[in-house]
Amino acid sequence: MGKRTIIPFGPQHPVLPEPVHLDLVLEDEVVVEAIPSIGFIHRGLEKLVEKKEYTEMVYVIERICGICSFGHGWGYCASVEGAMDVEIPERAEYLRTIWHELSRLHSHMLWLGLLADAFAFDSLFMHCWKLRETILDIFEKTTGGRVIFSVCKVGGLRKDIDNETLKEIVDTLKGLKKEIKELTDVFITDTSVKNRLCGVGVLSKQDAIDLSATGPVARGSGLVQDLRLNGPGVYHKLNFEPVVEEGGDCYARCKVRIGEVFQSIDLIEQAVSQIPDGPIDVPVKGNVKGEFAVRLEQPRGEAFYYAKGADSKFLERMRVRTPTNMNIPALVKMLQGCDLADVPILILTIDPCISCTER
Amino acid sequence: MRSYKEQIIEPVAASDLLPTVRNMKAEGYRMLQICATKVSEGFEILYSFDKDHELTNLRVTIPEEEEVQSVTGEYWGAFIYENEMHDLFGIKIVNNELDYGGHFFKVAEPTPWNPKN
Amino acid sequence: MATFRIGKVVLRSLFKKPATLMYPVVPREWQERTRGHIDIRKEDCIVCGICAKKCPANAITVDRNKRTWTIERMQCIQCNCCVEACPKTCLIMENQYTEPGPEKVVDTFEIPKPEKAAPNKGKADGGAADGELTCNLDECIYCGLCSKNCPCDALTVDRKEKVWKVDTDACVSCGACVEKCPKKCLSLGGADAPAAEADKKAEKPKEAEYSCPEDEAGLRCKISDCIYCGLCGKACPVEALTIDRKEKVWKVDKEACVTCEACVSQCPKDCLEVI
Repeated sequence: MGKRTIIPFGPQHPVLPEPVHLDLVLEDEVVVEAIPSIGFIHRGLEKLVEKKEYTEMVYVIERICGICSFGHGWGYCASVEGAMDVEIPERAEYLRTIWHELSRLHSHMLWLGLLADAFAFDSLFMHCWKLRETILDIFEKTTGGRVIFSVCKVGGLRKDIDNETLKEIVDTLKGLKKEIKELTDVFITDTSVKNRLCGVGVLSKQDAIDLSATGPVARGSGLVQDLRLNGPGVYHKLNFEPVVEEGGDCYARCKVRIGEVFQSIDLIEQAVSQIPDGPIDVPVKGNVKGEFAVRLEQPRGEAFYYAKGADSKFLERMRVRTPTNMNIPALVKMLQGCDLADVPILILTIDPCISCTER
Repeated sequence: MRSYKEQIIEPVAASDLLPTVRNMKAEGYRMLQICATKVSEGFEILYSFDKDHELTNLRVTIPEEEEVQSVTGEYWGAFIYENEMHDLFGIKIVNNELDYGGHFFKVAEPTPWNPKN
Repeated sequence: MATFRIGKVVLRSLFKKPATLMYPVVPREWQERTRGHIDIRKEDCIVCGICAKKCPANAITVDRNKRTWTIERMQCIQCNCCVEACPKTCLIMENQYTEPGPEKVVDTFEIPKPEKAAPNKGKADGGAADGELTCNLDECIYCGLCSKNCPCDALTVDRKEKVWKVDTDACVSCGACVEKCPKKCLSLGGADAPAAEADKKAEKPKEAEYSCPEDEAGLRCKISDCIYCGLCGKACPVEALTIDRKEKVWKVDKEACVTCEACVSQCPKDCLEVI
């Protein structure tokens, strides 16, 4: 047994956009154990429900995260709508699905760029982000914001997309598909990329179940776990199969996300072809009384929202559990036995969003 | 497959928690989350599980001073939620396999979500 | 071996125009929906303060006494709530961002007094305070429409006890109730009341005009007296009535109408009758 050293990793590290700290116990160059600690930027947003009315709270919840902002707004609204027993119009469900899939598309493009950046392939990184810009432009055109959309409200949506714009979006995405394909081919086939990803940080299927891994991490380990199969939205009316890879390593997780990029484009096309005309919101009045838990498949995995009303304008409890929270135990497991040099890439493949985790 | 609107919340006594969780693990449930709510009689702790995309919840209601058994023996990943509950609400968790001893979150005052005074 | 797979893409980019804009020389294109910053049409503002109440970020302050409207630009989250809440639609979401700067900008707008209020001011002496909501209780039918339309829940109306009360602290004098009152017995500021009455007198000598020829059977409305309040439509059990206040339309679907006369008793102007 070699000499053990403890190396502190983070909270500030070039690969981490947000602060998480890991104590890495090393034996020579190999990680034996990793102890995570978070809490550097805990904001206590869940506690804020006691001071913000439930209709205003959606603006706070949206600001949990800048990447999956729409999903958070949707999850919150869905949980409050469930507690109040409100049915939202079908067109609103379709539009929410379309915006959510666009968010997934932009999140995965961002992640692919970050991954390229983590193994220092900077031209790939820049090209990924260049394509992502097109999707941000769609957001600005349809919602008025590039990052924070403010379109979800309890009872439906605040803005509609007319059918002409929807067709334009589909056309834009069709053009984008070809360009994305060129870049994702690099991730899948290029030797220099594969050398860094293949066989690194293997998570077995059993571990993924035991440690409650979620999202692309779980699907990369062969677990069919996709909340779009049973959750809010109109996914049950669209034709799709979860993208699942068997490898369990970084390469498999990367391939899952690449598969989902194209799946999202396909889902948007299907949704646009089916979308019915009609109202986009229903009036919501009164206080929240019941309780309701909703799970939503976000780009990073499943997010959990639990709303409990106190028969007043304020909720008694709002719980948001984000996907990264679930993936941290899996990350700790993956880190055991890997090389110190692979740690940054491994952390990145769970697509950590620490701000989400520390609502 | 669209049954997310049905909410299953089963009340469980604190003493029955560990055996119930053990059974669920044996049946192949995944642990989703644990969260606490401050209520007048103490704390309400919600344990959420998933199997084949179906959500099941267990609810344990305890007086403020009572201790709760940790479920990290079954689901090791639960250490995040248990440390969170301990740091923010001051819920006493026993037998936690990865106990940060109140240092998981860096809080300015103890148990900020359940102020003592 | 697949190496340098990105070569084609990189080479193409090399000979293309840059993907970025030359900031700040080349200005950015703004979308129509872009939420940039809030602007206010000062002359339409009635300093009611509903925007400040609805703002989730507490970025807006309204001072009714000094007649100022203040926004903290860096606090504003561009959620568009105030624009949607404004009863006078005098707030606008402009599609350009605020200029970047080293300081937190606070913009204060002075709201000019409405021109109409100026001549009234002299007469208001001794009457109700300027801008205060009053009700002519002799005319009031306690229908409760005013309290239903109040955005601030400042009005209490009890039909049985014949009580009409205004919480002057909560009331923001937005005028939403004045417009809705079927008897036109509400007024803002004591001086407005006689003016409203004068309007009413002027209306009376008009010739009676009906919604349909006098001999046609069924429900008819004396259009010349109708104030398009919509109370009849609300009372109708079969939804046979269409009332549009703005377009001054009163219509009855005679096939749907069962001539139950439920609307007749509801009409505050007694202009409905069944022949």
